[in-house]
Amino acid sequence: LTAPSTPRTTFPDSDVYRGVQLLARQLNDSTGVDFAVVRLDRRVAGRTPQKIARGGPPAVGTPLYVIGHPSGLPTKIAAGARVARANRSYFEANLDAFGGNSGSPVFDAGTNTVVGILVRGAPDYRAEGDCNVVNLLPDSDGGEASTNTGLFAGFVPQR
Amino acid sequence: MAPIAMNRHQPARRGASGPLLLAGALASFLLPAADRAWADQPRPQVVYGSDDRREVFGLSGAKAAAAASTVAIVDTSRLTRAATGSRLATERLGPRRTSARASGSSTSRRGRAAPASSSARTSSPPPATASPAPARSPTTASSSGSG
Repeated sequence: LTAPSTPRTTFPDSDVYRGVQLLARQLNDSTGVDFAVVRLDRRVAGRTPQKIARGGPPAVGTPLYVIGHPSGLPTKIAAGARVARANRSYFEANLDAFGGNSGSPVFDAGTNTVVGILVRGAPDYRAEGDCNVVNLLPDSDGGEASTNTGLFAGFVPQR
Repeated sequence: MAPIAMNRHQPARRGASGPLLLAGALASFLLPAADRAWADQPRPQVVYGSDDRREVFGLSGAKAAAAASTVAIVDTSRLTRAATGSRLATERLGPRRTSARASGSSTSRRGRAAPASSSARTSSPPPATASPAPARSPTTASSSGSG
């Protein structure tokens, strides 16, 4: 959206890129690792690459926000979350994330560095009568999982 | 009448009710196992409730820069040629707002959900667009930038 109720649905060709090569991919149910690194058809112009964390997972309690397209909606920024648990492969947080957010960058709100890629979470909706309503969760649940960027940082050029 | 909150994670007992947002189908590409599971879940026709998520046009500073460097990934089947480039297929979720019932907003973070009601489905949400059914093959990355 460029303004309330004003969606942007056309894009100049210079802003549209095609994925041409799968550089790396991991999907492991036992470790929870889930990522893919795709090479684009050309060097990106006119955009500043985001910084990504290249070390271990963010510490428990790290403040987070996520940018993406929950349930297919126009871009949303959901902040106010914190890391609840972390291990070498992924971390969990109370992010307000939905299907469609998969692949979204998860930022450390203190450094604006990408620390994770959102990959899975709790069920989004539940049936209630004739409606499907949002599945509300307690903050303590923290069940939205993100792959640690450090696992694939080696494929991403450093700024 | 404002049945649900969009904030999924919330402590108990914080009041808020709210306007509505809309939702519908999922977007995204590279549909990993987790998203396939998501896609199998019930989907709302319309979602009502409080919402503290922010729009790109309302950002400034570092978050605006972060949003400008974040892309949407879509299937090429959803792109058509337009005079000025490519047009992304979208769908309207819900009718245009026609009454004051659909106005108002709440900015409460993690507000408590109002009870769900089937009557909500007939309320009049504001217009918006969202991406249609999930795509399952990685094809095109469209820079969403500031829009």
